[in-house]
Amino acid sequence: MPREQFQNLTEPMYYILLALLDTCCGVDVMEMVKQLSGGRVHIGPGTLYTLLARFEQEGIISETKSEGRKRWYRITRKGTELLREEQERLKIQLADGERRMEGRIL
Amino acid sequence: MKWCLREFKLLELPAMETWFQKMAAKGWLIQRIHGGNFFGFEKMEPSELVFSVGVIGNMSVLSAENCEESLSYREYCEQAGWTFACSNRVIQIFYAQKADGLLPIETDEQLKFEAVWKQIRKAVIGQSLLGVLWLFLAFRFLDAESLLRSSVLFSSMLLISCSLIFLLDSIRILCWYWKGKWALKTGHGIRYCGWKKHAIYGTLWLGIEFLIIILCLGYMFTGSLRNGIYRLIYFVLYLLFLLLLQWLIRKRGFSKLGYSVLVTGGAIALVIVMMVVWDTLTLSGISNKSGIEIRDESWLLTLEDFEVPEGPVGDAILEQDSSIFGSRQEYHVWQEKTYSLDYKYYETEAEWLMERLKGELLTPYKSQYDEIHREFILKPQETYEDVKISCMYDRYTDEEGRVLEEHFWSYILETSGRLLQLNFSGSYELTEEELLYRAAERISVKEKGMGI
Repeated sequence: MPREQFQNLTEPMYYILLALLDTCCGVDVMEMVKQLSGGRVHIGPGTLYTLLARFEQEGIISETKSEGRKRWYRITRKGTELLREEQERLKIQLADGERRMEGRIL
Repeated sequence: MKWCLREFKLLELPAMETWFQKMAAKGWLIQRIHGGNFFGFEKMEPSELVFSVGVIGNMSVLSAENCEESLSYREYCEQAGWTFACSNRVIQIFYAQKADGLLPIETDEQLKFEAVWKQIRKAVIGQSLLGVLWLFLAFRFLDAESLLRSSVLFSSMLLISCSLIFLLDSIRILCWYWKGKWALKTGHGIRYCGWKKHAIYGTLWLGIEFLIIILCLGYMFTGSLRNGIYRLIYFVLYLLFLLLLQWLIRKRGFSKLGYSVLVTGGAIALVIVMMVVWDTLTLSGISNKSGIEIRDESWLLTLEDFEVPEGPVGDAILEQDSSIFGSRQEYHVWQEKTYSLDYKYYETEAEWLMERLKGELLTPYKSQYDEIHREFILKPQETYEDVKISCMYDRYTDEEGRVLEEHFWSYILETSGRLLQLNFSGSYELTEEELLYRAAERISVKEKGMGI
C-alpha cells in the first residue's frame, strides 16, 4: 500500500491514476498502464482490484458508470491533486539527483 | 468427482498452487472446496496448467461465496486471461494454460501480504483467545481429585492439547508476520510456506485433528452409557449446526450483527435441545440409578460390611472412577433414615498426588457464611495394623487464634497409597471402634485383595 496512506505513491499507483485521467473501465486500466509505461510496469488483476477499491474508498477515484459487473472510473479532484503533488515530488527528487550526479551539490 | 482431504493455511498459498498444478498434470482439475478441507477434483485430460490462489483483503469471511467483491475480483482476473476454478470464502482459485505474457494475479507483494494478514489475523486473535480460555478452564477445574477421574482428566488433557496447538499456530503466524514486515522493509521477498513445508505441517495438523476427533469419541464414552449417548447427540448436533452455519454463509452471507444473532440463537437452541434430550434420556430410564448396586462388591465398604440388614434406600450418591494416576470412590447411602454411610476413598501410588488429595480434604469449602478463620484439623487417634486413624475437626478461631468452636467432621484413615474419609451414623449393632477397625481392615495394605 502507499507508504503511510498515499503520502508517496508506488509506481503502480502512480500509473493507475495517470490512466484514470480519462474515464476507464477497470480492466482497461491494465492495458493503459502497460502502454503509458512502455511495457515496463505490469499490474496484475488482483492488485488492480485491491488498489481501485482503496482509491475509491479514499475518494481518489470515483465510479462513473457500470454495466453488469463492469465498472468505469475516473480520477477525482482530490486524486488529481495527489497526482500533481507526486509529480512535483518526483521532479524535485530527479533535480536533486541530477545536481548531485553532476557534482553541483555536496 | 474425486475428494481429497487437506489442511491448508493462508500462509500456504504457494503450496496450494503447487498441489493443484501436480493434480492437473495427473488429470485432475480442482472444482470445489467444502468445509475448507475437502477438495473436489474433476477428471480431465492431463494438462500443464498454472494456478494462482488469490486472497481478497476487503472481503468479509462472513460474505456469501458469490458476493459483489468476489464476483468483481473474478471479473478482473478472467479479463486478464485466468479461468476461475472455485473459491473458499476469501480464497479465490484460478488457472490458465502456461503461456508467455500471462500476468500474475498479484504483482504487488505488499498488497498481497496485507490481504493475507488482514484475513489471517482474525484467526490468530480468535484461536489465541480460545487457547488462553481453554488453558484457564483446564487448569481451573483440574484439582487433585479430578486427576483420578478419567473423564475429567481426559477432557482436560484434550483442552490443554488443543490450546497449545492453537497458541503455537498463532505464534507461527505472528513470526511469519514479523518476518514479512522485516522483508518488506529491507526489500527482500516475503516467504510463504511452500510445498515441502506444507507436506510436514499439513500432515502434522491433519494428524492432530484426527487424533482430537478420536480423543473426543473416546471421551464421549468414558463413564456411563447415558453420558456417552448425551455427548454423542450433542456432538452430532453441534456438527450439524456448524455445517448449517457454513452453508448459510456460503449461500447468502451475513453481517457481523446477523452472524452474532444467529450464533447466539443457535447456542441457546442447542442448550434447549440438550435439556430436552437429557430429560428424554432420564424419562426413558437410561439415566436412572437402578443399574447401580449399592451393595456391589466393587465398593470398598457397604452397609452390609457394617452388618446392617437390607432395607429400602432413602437416597444414594455413588461414584467410582479411575485414571492412570489411581482410583477414587464416593459413596453416600442413607438407608431408611436409620443408617447412613458416606465416604471418599482414594488410591494412588503417586505420593505427591496423595499429599494434594489430603490437602484438598483438609481445605474447607468457602461460602459466604464461613468465618475467615475456619480450618480443618486432624487429631491422630490410633493405629490399626498399618492404618493411621485420625479424627478431623472443623475449627473456628478468632483473629488472635483462640478457638471459638470445634466439632467433629469425619474420620480419616490413611495408609501407604490409600486415603479414606469416613462418616457413618445410625444405631449400628457394632461399636464405633469396631466399625472403624472394619474400615481399616479394608484399606490396610497388609490385607489381601483390598483396594478398588
